Amino acid sequence: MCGIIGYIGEQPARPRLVAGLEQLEYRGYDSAGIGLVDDGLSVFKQVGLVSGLDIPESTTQTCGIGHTRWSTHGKPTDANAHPHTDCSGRVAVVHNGIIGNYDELRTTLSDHEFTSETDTEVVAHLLEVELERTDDLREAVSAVVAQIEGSYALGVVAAGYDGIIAARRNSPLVVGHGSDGNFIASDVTPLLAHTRSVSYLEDGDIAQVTREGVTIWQDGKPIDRERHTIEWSPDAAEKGGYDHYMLKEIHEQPTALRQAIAGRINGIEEGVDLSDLSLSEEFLASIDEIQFVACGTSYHACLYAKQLIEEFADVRATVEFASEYSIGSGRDPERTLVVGVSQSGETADTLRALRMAHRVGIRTLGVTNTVGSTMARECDDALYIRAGPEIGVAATKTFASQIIVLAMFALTVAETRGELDVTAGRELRRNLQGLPGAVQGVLNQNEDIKAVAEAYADGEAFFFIGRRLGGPVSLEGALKLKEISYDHAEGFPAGELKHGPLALVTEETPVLAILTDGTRPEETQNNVKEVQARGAPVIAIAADGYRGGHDVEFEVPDLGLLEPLVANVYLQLFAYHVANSKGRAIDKPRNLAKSVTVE
Amino acid sequence: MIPVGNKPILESVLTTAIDAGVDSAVFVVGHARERIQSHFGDGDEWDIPIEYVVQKHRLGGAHALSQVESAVDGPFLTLHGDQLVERRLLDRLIERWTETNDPVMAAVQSTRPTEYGAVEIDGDAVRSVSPTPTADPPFLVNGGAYVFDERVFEAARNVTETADGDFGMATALQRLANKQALSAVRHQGPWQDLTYPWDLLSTNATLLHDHEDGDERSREGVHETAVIADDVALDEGVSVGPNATLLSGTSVGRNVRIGANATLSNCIVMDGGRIGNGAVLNDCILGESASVGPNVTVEGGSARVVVDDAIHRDVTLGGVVADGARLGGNVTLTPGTVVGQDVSAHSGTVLEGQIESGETVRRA
Repeated sequence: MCGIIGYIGEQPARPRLVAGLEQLEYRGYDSAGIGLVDDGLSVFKQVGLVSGLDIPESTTQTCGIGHTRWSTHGKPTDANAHPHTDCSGRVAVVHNGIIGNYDELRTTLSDHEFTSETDTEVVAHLLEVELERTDDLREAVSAVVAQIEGSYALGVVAAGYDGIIAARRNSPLVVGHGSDGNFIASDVTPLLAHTRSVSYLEDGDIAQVTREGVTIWQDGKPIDRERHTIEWSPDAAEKGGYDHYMLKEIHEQPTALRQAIAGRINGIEEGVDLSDLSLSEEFLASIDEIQFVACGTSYHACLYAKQLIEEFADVRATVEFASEYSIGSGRDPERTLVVGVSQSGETADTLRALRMAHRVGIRTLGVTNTVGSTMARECDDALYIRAGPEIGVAATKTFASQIIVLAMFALTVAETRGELDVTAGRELRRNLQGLPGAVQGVLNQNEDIKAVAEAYADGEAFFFIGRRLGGPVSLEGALKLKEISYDHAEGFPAGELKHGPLALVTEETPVLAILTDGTRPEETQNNVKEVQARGAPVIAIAADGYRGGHDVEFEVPDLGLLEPLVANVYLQLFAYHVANSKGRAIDKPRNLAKSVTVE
Repeated sequence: MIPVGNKPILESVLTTAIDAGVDSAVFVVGHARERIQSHFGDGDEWDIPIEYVVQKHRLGGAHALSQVESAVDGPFLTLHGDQLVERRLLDRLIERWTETNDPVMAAVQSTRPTEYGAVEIDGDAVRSVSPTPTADPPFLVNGGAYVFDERVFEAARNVTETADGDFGMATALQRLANKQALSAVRHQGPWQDLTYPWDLLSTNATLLHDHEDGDERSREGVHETAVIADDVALDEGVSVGPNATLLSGTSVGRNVRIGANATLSNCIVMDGGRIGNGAVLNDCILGESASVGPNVTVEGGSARVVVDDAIHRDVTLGGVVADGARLGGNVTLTPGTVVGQDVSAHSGTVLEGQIESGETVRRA
């Protein structure tokens, strides 16, 4: 999604802004731009890579803003790239989010000449109007944002004004406190090379960033925002010998999983210790329903978790696409818990659903990888999956980590409600401990998986089937493959195959089947026979007892209800190698963004 | 990436090199490179930049060297990733380089001269480097540690793989020696070559003895009645059941579960291993995610072990249970047994010799 960076300080701004934009590249973008100010304003922007920006090395301005754009309003063109300027060429604006009343505002600006099709440009022209009234840029921004409906993270500079004004509503923005200058950015990644000390802006905040410091205003009054220290190192987000972040992150799963369970599962005592959870026991014991809201891969993790919650905690669990969420009737807000799941904690659809629930008095729990994210701050409670930074647009390690954190949550809820089957609980805990080793066992077969992926890469379409816990894993396997290889891939609960999709199955469509514990493999075997009868090659990811009679077979060790999660690692590597054999842009697939901050 | 003292050998090699003043590292990695890359990343944790060069086919030491030509500049240390090295030796190699500005190699007096390439020296200068072992005193062999500069790339060019197991390194070194451009540092300290499993056990015990961490050890996950010797290393997420006893020279990897009443002595247990209640393991190596059922017995002690058709007598090795192997309850390992990967041995079987990977062992 779009990225913002801004710098003001003692050093030339250009190299810092360019480096910052390169750090933001992982979010996905189609165009980039930079605006530099002193007494005048210079803007450099174009479609394409940050490295393609043609900015003279001689520029010495020490204040500026930069942007990577992922098109929403208007096509990717040079004119639509940010920053946007007013008619006089005095003000430059970068913006993330969507301005809902853009059409209306534009009609009030009929005497202004618009050069782009973006919603952002109205902000520049509105500022031009305000700046005829006042010289104070902060006051002007404050007056403009009062007119805007929708979501925004804004960075504004103006010729002759020594500072950056930033404003936020429903789109993340942080300010960084550096030793030789101060920053704004849409997330902390581009700041890490310069400072670890950041403050997160809240909705309605306007920040005045100058060489000397940062002042944050809310409702016209200065306000203190806590300073956070970022723990992870900038290089934790570098590739470390791998060709792609995605492959690196797939291989980081054993470590990520160990971090997720560290201190939460103790091998000797019975029980799970989720002490970072602050929802009261009385509340957890009283609820009638747990509603999950999420998008994409996180949604698939929720489908998996839902089944574990119902099985272990004997409480109704439902999963909704966050973008489709509405409270629904017949629910008591006091007896419902809404759990939002998002890697970044900034997914706009998920945040919207959580806010909707919050407004009717439902308690909310955010499950995220990002400490200090909007989700973590807005929810009543937050659980962290501790997977470490994930840069590849296709989520991999966070899927596994989300599921096991939710599995531990299921055990906690079960215990609290007095519903825990002690034997089953013990087995799940043991399997959670055994998961990192089992995943490593799959990773060790990387070369074999690569060979199979290359052999089947030319399939016309790919179908993934499995039942019960194998259902979400099939969906996830298909999503991974389609998003990075651009091949047609679909996942189905295996029993649904004969109700339609079977019409698509031919000799040219490989079928990947999940045949493990927790997926009712005996029944899925019948569906495998159905596709084999149509000549489709079958790649089986199978536990002991379900191998034999398939074109390719991969082994899953004994791990109970977590076996489908081990099977998923095969599917991740399969997707990666298919896409890599076709030379796809694996870490930045076309049209996609890492953290989707528009609804 | 085999752990000794709960650290991959390569990590010990790296930290020793850093202590000796190395400020950046290049790893030549092969088919299993993901494990190495995931562990070391960009080297942040060690505060030095690490670069990776991929050697696609195992074409030997000389070829591996030629791969790093574009990645290095100026003199560089060359070490084996699976051979522990002493700081003292590195200091002396670097010192010699500073004096002579010519390539330097380590020549080690070996107790097993029949297994390593022989080195002949004249004063400090190396006269010949042979790919084959020596039978003559003073038993000097190639110690596998060097300081080189760009001249070595010239020497390593067009060296073809030789069948002697030395992979062309001897040829490259001999070419340098022919130009009177190679000197040797003689080294007499303990030389920890880790060719065989029993080498791992003894080196592990030595390392643990030198770095006892009994005092600051966290007992999280360890039952209060468990007894753990000072020279035992426990990694993260280990759980140890009631009355279990971990005796000297034992290292336990991440997420390992040790059952009640189990007794381990002089063992290496790698990540994800599971040890059942009442198991007794002596002088034993347990691979990643291997599992051992209740009351399994590995009695340990001295054994006769056959490796690659060579018989090794009187080595201390209770047994090796490779990655992913599963031993049922009451399985007994005769001293020196090597159980292959993913072997499944049913309850009550008695194992000896070598069990091939993937086999299932049933009671007769």
